[in-house]
Formats: sequence, structure tokens, C-alpha cells
Amino acid sequence: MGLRFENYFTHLTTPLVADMARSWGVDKGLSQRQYVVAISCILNDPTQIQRLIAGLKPYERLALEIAKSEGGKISTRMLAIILQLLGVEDPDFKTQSHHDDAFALALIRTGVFIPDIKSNERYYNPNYEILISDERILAQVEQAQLPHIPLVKTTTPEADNYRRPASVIFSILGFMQAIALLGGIKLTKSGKPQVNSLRKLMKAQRWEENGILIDGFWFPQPTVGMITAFANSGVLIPNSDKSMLVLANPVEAFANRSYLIQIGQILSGFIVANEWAEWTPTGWIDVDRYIEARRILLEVLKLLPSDNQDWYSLEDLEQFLFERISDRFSLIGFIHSVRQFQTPGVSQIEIEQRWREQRQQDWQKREKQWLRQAFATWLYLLGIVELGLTRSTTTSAPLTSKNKSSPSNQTDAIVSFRITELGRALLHPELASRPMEIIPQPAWIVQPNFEILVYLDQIAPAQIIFLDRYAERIDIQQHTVQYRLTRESVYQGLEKGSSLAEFIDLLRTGAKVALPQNVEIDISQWAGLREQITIRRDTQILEFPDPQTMQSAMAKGLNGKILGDHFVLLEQNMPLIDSWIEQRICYDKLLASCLRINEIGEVKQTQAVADLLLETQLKRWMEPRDQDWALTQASVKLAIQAGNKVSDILEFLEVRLTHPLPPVLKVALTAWAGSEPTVEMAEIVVLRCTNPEVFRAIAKSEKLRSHFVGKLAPDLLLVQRSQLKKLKQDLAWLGINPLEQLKI
Amino acid sequence: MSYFPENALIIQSDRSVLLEVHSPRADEARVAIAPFTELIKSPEHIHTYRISPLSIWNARAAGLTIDAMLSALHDHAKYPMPEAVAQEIAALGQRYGLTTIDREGEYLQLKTADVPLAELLVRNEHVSPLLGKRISPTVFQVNPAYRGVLKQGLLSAGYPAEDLAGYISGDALAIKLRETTQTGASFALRDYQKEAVEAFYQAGAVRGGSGVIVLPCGAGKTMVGLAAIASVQENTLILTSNLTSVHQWQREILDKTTLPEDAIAEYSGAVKNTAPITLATYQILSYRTHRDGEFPHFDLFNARAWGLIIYDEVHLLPAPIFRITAELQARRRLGLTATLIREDGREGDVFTLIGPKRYDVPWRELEGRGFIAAAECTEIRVPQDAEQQMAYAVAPKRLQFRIAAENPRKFAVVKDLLQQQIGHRILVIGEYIEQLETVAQLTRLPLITGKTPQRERDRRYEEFRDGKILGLILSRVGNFALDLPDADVLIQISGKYGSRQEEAQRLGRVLRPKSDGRSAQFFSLVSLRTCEEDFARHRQLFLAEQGYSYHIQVLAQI
Repeated sequence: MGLRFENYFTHLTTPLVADMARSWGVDKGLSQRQYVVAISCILNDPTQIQRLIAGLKPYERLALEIAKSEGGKISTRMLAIILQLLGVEDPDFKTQSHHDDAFALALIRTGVFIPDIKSNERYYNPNYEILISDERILAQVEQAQLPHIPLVKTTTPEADNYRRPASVIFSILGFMQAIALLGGIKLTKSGKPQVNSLRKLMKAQRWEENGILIDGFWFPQPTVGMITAFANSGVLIPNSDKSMLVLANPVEAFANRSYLIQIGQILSGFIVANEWAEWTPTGWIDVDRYIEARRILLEVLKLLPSDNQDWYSLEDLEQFLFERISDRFSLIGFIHSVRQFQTPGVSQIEIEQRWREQRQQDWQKREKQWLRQAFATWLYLLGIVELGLTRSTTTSAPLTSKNKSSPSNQTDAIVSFRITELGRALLHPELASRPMEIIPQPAWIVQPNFEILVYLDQIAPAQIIFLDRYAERIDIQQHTVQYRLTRESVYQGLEKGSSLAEFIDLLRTGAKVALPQNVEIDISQWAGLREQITIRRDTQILEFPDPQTMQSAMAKGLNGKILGDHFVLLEQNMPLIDSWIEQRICYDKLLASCLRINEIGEVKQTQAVADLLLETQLKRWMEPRDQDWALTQASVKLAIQAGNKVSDILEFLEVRLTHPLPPVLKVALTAWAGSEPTVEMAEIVVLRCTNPEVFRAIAKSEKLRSHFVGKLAPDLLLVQRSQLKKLKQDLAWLGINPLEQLKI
Repeated sequence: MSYFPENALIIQSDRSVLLEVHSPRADEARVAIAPFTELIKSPEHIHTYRISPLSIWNARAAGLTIDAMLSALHDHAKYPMPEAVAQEIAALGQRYGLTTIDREGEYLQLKTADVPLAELLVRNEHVSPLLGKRISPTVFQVNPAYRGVLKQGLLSAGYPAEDLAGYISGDALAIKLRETTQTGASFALRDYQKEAVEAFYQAGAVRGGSGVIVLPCGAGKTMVGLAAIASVQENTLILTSNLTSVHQWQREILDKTTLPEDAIAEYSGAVKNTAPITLATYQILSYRTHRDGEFPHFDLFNARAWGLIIYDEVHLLPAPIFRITAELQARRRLGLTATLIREDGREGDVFTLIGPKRYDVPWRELEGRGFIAAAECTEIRVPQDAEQQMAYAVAPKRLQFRIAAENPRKFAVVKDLLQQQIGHRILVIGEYIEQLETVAQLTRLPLITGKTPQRERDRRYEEFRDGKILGLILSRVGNFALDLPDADVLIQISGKYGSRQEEAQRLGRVLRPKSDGRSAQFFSLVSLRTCEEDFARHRQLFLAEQGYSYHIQVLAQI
């Protein structure tokens, strides 16, 4: 829908349209339709629009400029908050109880904004959350030259940390690759990622569930955070039956985009992350407020000067935010009203002072902490800010592992920040003068132990894709990435279509020093072996009972290649000599049923068979026992550990057994393979009475019946445990003292 | 973010430190960080070091300050050091010395830096049971028998103790190092050997007297041991990894010290004598008749008043010896090794029970100064003939390695190599006796196996040392502590799967510096396209990570 007021008028009430029309100089007393026609007419006249804009109050004009910078559509709250941040909001609204609505209505009544109201909200609960301006008005508005927020630059910190764009990209691509290798993230029926699937991903990334340290900054619940951000940004999408989250595009396709597009996409996902928060405060989390907080923070960063590399104090920023927006914004979505502090006999100034002190205490506990965490998490992870740290040499935190309270965690040491070049390009795309990417150049060192050390400040995107294709990533650090060349990784790379020569050439071009001779030789050998594997179809193999018979057949003119002691692979055009063949086995048909198995897994072969598969399968799944075999918990576990599936053994037994598999063994097999069925046990209390008459009387008694859960046998009642004491009392009244020990 | 391209170190948040070997300041950086880092791997271009609690505490025990460690890193960092690493070094470094163990009459005292730490330790499950009476808010009485286990407990609690409780004196022993050896050569300790002994003994102060000296293979650890005995001047028990090593120590003591033959005894499976200097193997000491039985030979530790116990190849120290060592904390202890890294991860026990690292010199430095030989490794991939290929292909997996290792084409390659290396002193080492016997027949070189009587072995070694024979064929016996200083070519015809330790030991045989400064050659024969290649790859990675140049030669198919 285009940004034209005509598309939105129908959902407005007539008095509101009349107010808008008045601003445009339209007379009173018209019908809604007439107002709309009149406004539409005026909107086609740029001169009248310019006149109206010239007459707007400063904050109204600024609101219009901000709306233009946001594409013409903006949240009322965000607009109000940005104006507050800039210190230009009309203070009159703050005194009104629903100041967002009052603010929106005031802007609508200027004639340059219209609310995005849905039809069903028209009469009952008009919603002014989103404001829109008309594209014809916006065309007459100058590009916003928003003032900078008045933060004073601070001194260069004692130490600092930042992530290079390449480092950010490595993290993103690494995460995508891990998801690709897992085949996606399984979803529950309610569409949330399955816990098991998240755990696997976490393991693949070598992360901890609670959090990880990224260059010394604590990042809580990284798997949840990244999955949420990737799903929100469209990098991950649900598959057709909504059972999994899968990559929307192959990793390489994503990696081929510019750094700005890749990181910008993930940033958009982090901002609206609704399943993850920067910290875990005690109490309830209002997800919408967290999203709003992230938006505000990005706006603040945008409002900092973009043409220098100044450092700003985190404390100054936090104070600034408190001063400007703490009366409007809270992470829990609730702010005490000043009225709650009113006490008879206390002056208004004193009351406001008390309110402010309370607000400051709340802010210190929540918003201040969150702000620090936001800098240490997504803003740092995505390379938007460089963080300045203070040095402290005293700590008494435990050293046992890297955890939130370990001295490695530098989040509390953050004192200042500055926007990185990447951050500026993301926050001010209109100012981005040159691409962030580096052109390919020697960026790594290949070591004789097959490791590749990559310098992040020198690597180009195309080189990242190349390495990811051919090598296994071991570790990402702030300045380097380590890969390892393995036979498998090289095969995987070659399978994507390039040749060995191309691979070696690119590896050499990107290397700062000559490739080690042993690495080059081994890679060539691996590639050579891969090319030597030939798959033969339609082959005929003859098996002989012993080497002598085989040799004698060869001497008589059998033409083929000897395989081991018993087999000859016949030449392709060699006709079979029937006289040599006692038994033919067609492996594409059902093989002979020849096994019996009992409930405890003992397997007997009922007849001799000659096919080559039987013994292999028996060895794979069972333990040899004299002449027989046995399926045991240990043997099945071993087979599963070796990568076999329980469905394979079930299928094998179905074909090979001369009778159906005992159901209890099937249960055992499945359980041994790791899918343990759920059964429950409990100790119960029963009442047994062998005298049928007494039993019937007790079972049917209205007084006693409520003490029993049910009848287990003709002489056995299941007692409700909570009623045991009462039952004993009632039985005592009957003159019965039940014996305590019952042997069943 | 500042960037100093001329600097050699990249310090990473995970506490690893990368050293760019070809950087102009690489040597300087290596020397600066060696005292408080552990070298993990040193392939040709980038070496990886690790900063760990133990490496920091070892450095603190050697007297290095936190500031000195941080300055070393700051001064050589290419990119700024992550603040988290600095914080962690400071935090770890401050821990050392917060607890001390002192002697007070017949008891020991554990002193803690402050009351909160004392309270923390009282609540620690490993420490608490070992504490006696609380003498003051920060001081506890400790039974001397618990000295070792208390140190282990304090380490696991993260508060390593500085052991200042001193040592009991052993029986006196008059011993001097000779200036001219019995064989007539002039002898003096090298400067690094002197420094190592001084760092260990610390002129008899309680801060010295226990610890580990780390020197690469061929750097003369035995000489350091002899000098330590000469410093302590007391009866000494020397524990080694095998009998050949016992004999080597014996030979060196007789050759380079003033001790007479009867002052030295061997305590082994064959003979069980003791003397002021007694040599025993870990094997005999750890021997017991059944799994849960007593260790009958532990009596050796109390057989004399030992003033010093030397643990040779301390990275191989078996668990029972750790246990007895925990009870021997009142005696001076010296560990000798080429690496502090143990396959079983018990580096902490070495730190607490033997002592902190007192001295080490990177092998590169010694190689550069000509004290150990440079080595070139060449892996020769030998194709199998068609028949062997098929035998290999159809053999059960467990037999495939042996078929590949015994590839008969290797014999021709050995002969070629012997031809090429005429004039060199050659060792041929292998795993399989039959294969070695064939090599012996083909080359007419003497073969030494586990079955060769010790006297015969010693005679052959002597002949090799004297240049009467130019080559020896050795089975697994060649892996350990052989002193054949002139051997400069080693041909490994077969090995034990991918054993890294075996590879290091075998290579160590040819690392003694050569009089003419030539490099050692290490040839490893591997059957092409077999599982032997895969196992060889483990060894290849190991040697590459140790920094040896590694080349592969693929022989043409038949």
C-alpha cells in the first residue's frame, strides 16, 4: 500500500479528519468524504504543502523529518522517544496520562501524519501506535539533519576490544555451517526449536548452555540468541511441513553477499529477538520493551557524530538516557506515577524528588545493567562497537572454569565505547563511501601440521568461502582463525566441483609463505586416491570353497581378477561356466531366512547359507557364542556407536528370521539402541481378603469404597495411599485388624 | 586498535599465544615468554604457547613477578593483549604464595594470607581433612605425613602452596665432578646446565631443593643430575625408566665424578643392592604380585637416608611412585624431563609432589647454539607389489597394519639408504623381529632385541660408540635412553601404530650434537596407500608440531 493518506482515511472518525482538514485550511461543517476530497486536492499542490510545513512547530517538523528518514512510517513511541532524546519534545504531553496518544493526536491534527488504524479498531479502541506521512508531504521535507546528542567524548581507554568484520562473518558462517551439518533445527509442534536439537548445535559450536565468553565478554544463552536472531532475520526459515528450521539459502550463497548485507540482516534479527535477552534479571521480562530498548539504543548510536572516532563514556550515555527518557521508558513496561508519591503536606517539588530517586534506584538495577550487557553482547558480537576497558588487577573470583564470574569476564570492566567503521556503515548506510571488504591477498600460513592460520585483518570474503569449502574450522579468535586440512575436508571441497590444481593454486595464492612440501604431497595423494575409486556395476563374482579349487579353475581358463583366497572378479565379457557354479545368489532378491532367535537374544543358524552378507551382519550386531551368536546389550550398543541404526537390525532380522521376532526382544533392541520406552513403577498398598463374602462386603461398602482405587484380583483391592489411615480406622471399627505382612 | 607488525606474538582470549617464528623479534619474544608459558606445538612457521594456572605458578615459584609476565606480553604483542588474559594472569599469579607450608618443631604449619582464605580452605573437601589444630585465625597445624597430599589439595582448591618446610639431611656423600673424564676427555658443565642446577638447589635454601628441570633430548640432563648430586653432597636415589638408562647413569657417574665403583649400586630385577648412589627403575618399584597387593620394593625409599631423589624422565612417572613421593616431601627431589606435558594429564601432581619447574631452555635455542643436532625427517612411502596389495586388501583389519609394516619392498629401500649414507653412523629400528632379522641378514649389521643378553647389548653399544661398527639394528629396546652420541642416521622400518612417544624417543637417539655439526637424518619407511600411512600421519603431525622439517618421498609403483 502506497504512503498516501487516501488509503487510511476510511478508518478515521470524522472529527479527527475534520481536525486534519482544518490544518490544511479547509472550512468546518463538511462531511467526512468532502474533507477527504479537499485534503487530497491540497496534497497535490506542493506549494500548499510547503506552506503548511513552514508553519509547523519545531518538534513537529523534526518529527516529520525523522519519519522521512524511517521511510515515512514510524512507531509513535519511538518518534516520541527520539524527540525526547534530542530534547525537543513539547513538554506539555508529559503531564497527560496517556501521553503517547496525546502526542500522536497532536501530530495527526497538524495534518502531516495519519494513524495506521485497522478497520476493527475504528470505534472501540483506536490505535495510534503507528504514524504515517503522505509521500507527497515527504517529498517536500528536507533530508533530516538531526542534531547530535550532547555526549562529551571521553579519554582513550587503557585497553580496548573490537571484532573485525571478517571475525563477525566467520562467526555467522560458522553458525550457519553447523546448522547445515545438522540438517536443520527440529521444531516442536508449537514451532519452537527442540531442546535436543539446540543441544546438538551447542555441542557442534563447543558452546556452553548458560553462556560463553566472546573475547572476554559474557554472552548469555548463545544458541538461543543466535537461533532467534537468525530466524527473525530470515536466514533460517521453517521447512515445508514446519518441522524444522532450515537455512533459507546455502551458506556459500549467503557468504557471497557483502559484509554489510550479511551483518545488517543478522542485526535486524537481534533487534527483534523475542526468545532471548541480554541478561536474566530476576522477575518478569517484557519482551516488547527489550525490543524497544534495542531500537532506542541503535537510535542513540545513530545520533552520535558519525565523522570521528571519539570514545564515549558508558556511564555518560547511561546518565544521558536516564535524564532524557527514564520517565517514559522502562524495561518492565511500568513506571511509578508521580501521584503515587503524593503525601499530604509534602510539596510538589519534594514529591517529584522522591519519585525521581525511586526511578533512579529502579534504573540502576535494571536499565543500567541491561545497557552494559547490550554493549557486551550483540553490539560487540556484530562488530558495531569497540569497547574500552579499565584495568583492574584485583579479583577473588574462582578460577576453575571460564564462567560468568571468572576474571576472564570483562563485561564489568567496560567503561567506554566507540562506533567502529562497520558500525558507522550499518547505522548510516547513506554515508558508506567504500565497501568494507578487502581484496584477496596472502592472508594465511599453511603449517606442516596441516593447520592454516588465517589473519582476520587481511582476509577477503572470497577467501573465507574458499577455506570453509576445503578445510575444517578449528577455532576463531579475535585476530585469527585456525583451520585444519584433513582428507575428509579436502574430499568435501573437491566434491563441490573444483579440481585439485585449482585448489592447490588458490591455497598457494592466499598463503604468505610457501606451502609445506609434506602438505602438498599429501593433498595430491588424497586427491589421487579419490580419483582412483571406481564403482563397478553389473559385476559377477565367483566364490570358491578353497584356494586350490580357485587356482585349478584359473588354470582351466577362468579369466578374471583374484580377490583374496576365495573370490574371482570375472572379466566383464566373460560368460559364466555353469559347471563351476553350485549355487547362485542374487543379492537384489530376498536372501535366505536361516536364523532362529529366542527372547533372551540367543541366535541359532538353522541352515547354512552361502551369501556374503550374513556373517558381516551377524558380526556387526552380535557376539559369537561357540557355534552360535547372541544379541546383547553391549553388542547392540557397539553397533550403534559404530553408526548403525536400530532399523537396520530389525530389517535384517525380519528377512533372516524363520519366525517373528519375539516382541520383548524388539523392545529390548530399541531400548539398547537408546530409545528407552517409558514405564512407571510405584509401591502400592493392597488389601487382600480370601474370604469371598467378607471381600464382597468390603468392596461394595459405601463407607469403605472411597478408600480403594480399584480391584486387582478377586481377592485383592488397590488401596488409595492417602486414605490408608482412614481405612485402617474403618476396618478397626469393623473389628478387623489387617495383618501388615502380605506375601504375594 | 593499535597494531605492531614487527612484534611476534598474537595473544588470544583463550590464553593461547601464537609466536610468528619469522618475525624479526621472534627470538626475543620466545625468551621473554618461555618462563611462564607452556610450548604446545612448534611447527615451522607459527608456534603455539599456552598460559595455564600451572605455567603461571611455575613462573611465580621461580620468582617471576606478575608485572614481568604482563610486560613481556605487552612488549611483544602484535595486537593489544586481550584484557581478560591480563586479568587472568594477575588473578592466577596473586594466588601463588597465599598459602605457605613452614616447619615448626616436629609439626608443619599451613599459613594463609588472610582469614577469608583460611575459612575457604576449612570448607574445602580436599584440604579440610588434612588440617590439624587451628593455631591462629590464619595458621593451622599440619601432620608432616600430609605434606604432599596437602599440597595436592591446595592446588586443586586453586591456592598452590609455597613449601618452605625444608628438608631432612641425608647421609653425607663426598662427590666432585671431574675436569677430565676417566676416558680422558675434558669435561665442564655447559652454562645452561650450571644455571639449571643453581635454579634447583638455590644454594641449599628452603625455597630450592625440589623441582623439575626441562631440557630437550640430547641436552645433557644426566649431567645436570650429576651436578645436583655434587651440590647436595648426600646419598642419592636415582629412578629411571629402564635398565639401559640405569647403566648409562652408572657409566656417566663413573666417568665424570670422583665416586668409586662401589659407591654406586643397581637395584633391579636381577640385583638388589644399595649404595650411596643407588639406581632403580620405575618398573621394579611399581612391581607387586597382585593388583591390590603391597609394593614390596618401596622399602628402598627408606633403605638409606637419602638426601636427594632424582626422577629421570619425570613425564613417565607411574601413579604408585606419585603415591610414595607424597610421603617423601622432606627429601630433596629433582625431576628431569624433556616435556612437562604428560599423556595422563597429571602435570599438577608433578608440580606439587616433585616441585615446580625450576629451569628450561627451548630446544631451538640449544640447536641454534650447537648443543643439540638439527634433524631432518623424511617419510618414504614404499608401494607394495601386486601380491602384497591383494594380501593387504583382503586381510582382516587387525592384520592389515602388520602386513603393511612388513612390506618386503622396504628391505631394498633400507639397502639403498645404507648405500647413500655410507660414512654415517646408522641405527635401523623396527617393531617386528622377523623383519629385523631379515634386515640384519641383508646388511650384516648386528641386531639387538629384548632377548639379547645385557652384556652382549652393552658390548655392541660400546663397539658402536667406538666406531668399530657403523650401524646397529634395534628392536623396541632402541626406544629408550640409549647413549649412542655419534648416531646420526636413523631408519625406522616399522613402528608401533601412531605412538608419538615412541617417535620422540627414537628421534632422540640421533639428536646428540655431532662433532662436525652435521644434521641428523630420520627416515621413516611407510607402505604406500595402507593404514600404515594413516598411522604415520599421526607421527608426521607430531614431528611437524615439534618443529622438525618433514619431507615426504613417494617411490614409484612397481
